[in-house]
Amino acid sequence: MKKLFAVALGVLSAIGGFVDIGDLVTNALVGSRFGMSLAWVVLVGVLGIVVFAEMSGRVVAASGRPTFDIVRERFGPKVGLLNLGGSMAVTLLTYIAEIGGIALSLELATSVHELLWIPVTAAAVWIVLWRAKFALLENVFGLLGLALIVFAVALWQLGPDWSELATSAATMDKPASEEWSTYAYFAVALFGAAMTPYEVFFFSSGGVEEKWDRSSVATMRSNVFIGFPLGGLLSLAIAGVATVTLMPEGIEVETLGQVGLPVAIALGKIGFAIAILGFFAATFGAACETGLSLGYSIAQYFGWQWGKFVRPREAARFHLVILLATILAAVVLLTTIDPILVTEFSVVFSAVALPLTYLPILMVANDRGYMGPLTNGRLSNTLGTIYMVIVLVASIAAVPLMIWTKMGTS
Amino acid sequence: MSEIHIRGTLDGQLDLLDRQIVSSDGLLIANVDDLELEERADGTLIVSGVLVGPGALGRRLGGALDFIIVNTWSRLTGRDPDDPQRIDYAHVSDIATVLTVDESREVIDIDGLETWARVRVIEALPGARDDRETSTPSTEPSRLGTGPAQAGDRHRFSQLAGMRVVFSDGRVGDQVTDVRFGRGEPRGHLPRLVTEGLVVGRHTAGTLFGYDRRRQQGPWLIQKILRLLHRSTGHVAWSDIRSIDWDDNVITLSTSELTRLDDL
Repeated sequence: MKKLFAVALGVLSAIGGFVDIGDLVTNALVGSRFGMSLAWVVLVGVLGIVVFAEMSGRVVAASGRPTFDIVRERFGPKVGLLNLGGSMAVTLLTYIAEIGGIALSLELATSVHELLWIPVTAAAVWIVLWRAKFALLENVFGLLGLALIVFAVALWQLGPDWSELATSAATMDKPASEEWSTYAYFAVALFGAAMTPYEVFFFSSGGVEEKWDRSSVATMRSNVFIGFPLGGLLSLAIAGVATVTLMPEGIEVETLGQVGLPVAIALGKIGFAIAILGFFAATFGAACETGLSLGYSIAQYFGWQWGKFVRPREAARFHLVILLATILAAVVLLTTIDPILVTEFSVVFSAVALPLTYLPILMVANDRGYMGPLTNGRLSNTLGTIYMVIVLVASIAAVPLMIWTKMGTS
Repeated sequence: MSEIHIRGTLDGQLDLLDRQIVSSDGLLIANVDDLELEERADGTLIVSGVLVGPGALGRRLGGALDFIIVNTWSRLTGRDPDDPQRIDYAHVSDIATVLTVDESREVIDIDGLETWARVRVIEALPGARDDRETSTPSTEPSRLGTGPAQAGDRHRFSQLAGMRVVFSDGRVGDQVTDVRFGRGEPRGHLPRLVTEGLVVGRHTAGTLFGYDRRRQQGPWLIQKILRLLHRSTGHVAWSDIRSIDWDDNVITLSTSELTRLDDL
């Protein structure tokens, strides 16, 4: 019974914790401009994150080694350092976007300007990372994030023509008013949002925090195989409600309020309030995950003690990194930069950085010396190889497409 | 349980370098930033210690980073730039996916930056030490650096890996990409690691995925690509080395060709 409860809790947290500011903004924006014609990218992205999260979870269960330990061992210190620099730049960008997202949710709830909330939210995130127990921060925000189910409810309440939605998703039917280059740009952005590298850093380091071993593989798999796809359904629901309500009106999503607007239309004030709670939980949870990921990855590259399973004084450099990153994020946001713009950049550069994370995991998951009986089987390797190709294409195409389409505005 | 968990021979780059070092009580100490090799009378080298910290890592990064990191570290710690922190091999109690040492974290003076961050920043913040009494750091100096007396010249693994090889007929070959170790008589807890041979290949030391050595390793596509890149890779037995020039970074061989790794 206790075990069942633990599994259910893990799955529910995985669902609620799947969506972050990148998914919220990108899915709503794509829904409002392209309808469901890019839904296939979400499916591809979710399957990709499932494949690689499961692989990295298995590496942790077999060897106790998280992602950046492996990056450094496999690539050596020079290439490893380049990889660290690239991955951390993207994760920092995501961290900034998430903290901005919390401030925007609070602005929606209180009508107090977002800039006034930024010092408060940055301090709150830091206090949680400093004091809260790992299991607490993982589960509380994950469960609160389930409030985003309100998007699925809203979609059902709106009573769309389901067959039309399904047809546009299945035929990848691009609206005539949009260019193919813009379509490709948003495909890459959606893919980057679904497969954000920090998810794997956090997932694998979290496995070490929770002391996974070979017996944890079943639990880990249930979280990944059930939780992530259901979380992906929430992403589709966000795009779906935008398709039904915003696209016919010609509204392009530019603010977090517009992401929640379809829920307000469908369910009124109460629904909108629940959506805001969902935004808050999703961004706060993701801010914790990205903040920790920064500390995890840098500490793992250099071999420092890290983690919340030891007291802060035993992992002093790890906590120093988190503190400095939080201050930096607040400073950047206080320049009055638009967090939504930061988010759009973060998902595109996530797509650029994907191979840096996923290639070493695929390689080490094949090393018998590490993995023993948990070495990759044929299915993992086939999917892993296919995804390496997809990830490489997305990575190479991302920046040219961004420039070509002027970030999707042309 | 003191043991080397890796079967057969150990390859320095692949099995030792950049691995995590863990204290006897399971806390993380550092990474293996370099290995210290000691010459023996019979011409072989043994692993005499593990080098850790910026003083060792900087050298491997090379270029401007080497200069900046090593000199900054040297200024801040007051240590000689050529004298990085070391852990003697006699204190290594276990080699697996991590290296374990035989002392607890409390008595190991890990790193100046860690101490500085702890004393100046972390412990000064509210909530850093209320759950337990702060233990005073042990005044007993760490013994990790101590070991059997030095018996020959000492070198860094990272210098040996990267050296150019010259065949007996005067042809200049590729470079050393890895060094293979066998097991000798005990030093401390473990059998000492004695050089058995060199892996020589076209690509720089650092392409270390092991695909040049293990035939069965998947996935298929990556294996094919990497094996193609490594097709010139071969092995030289240590006994086929005539001389090692540590000043010019050249190894002269007494053989005129490499053995294919698959044939070993």
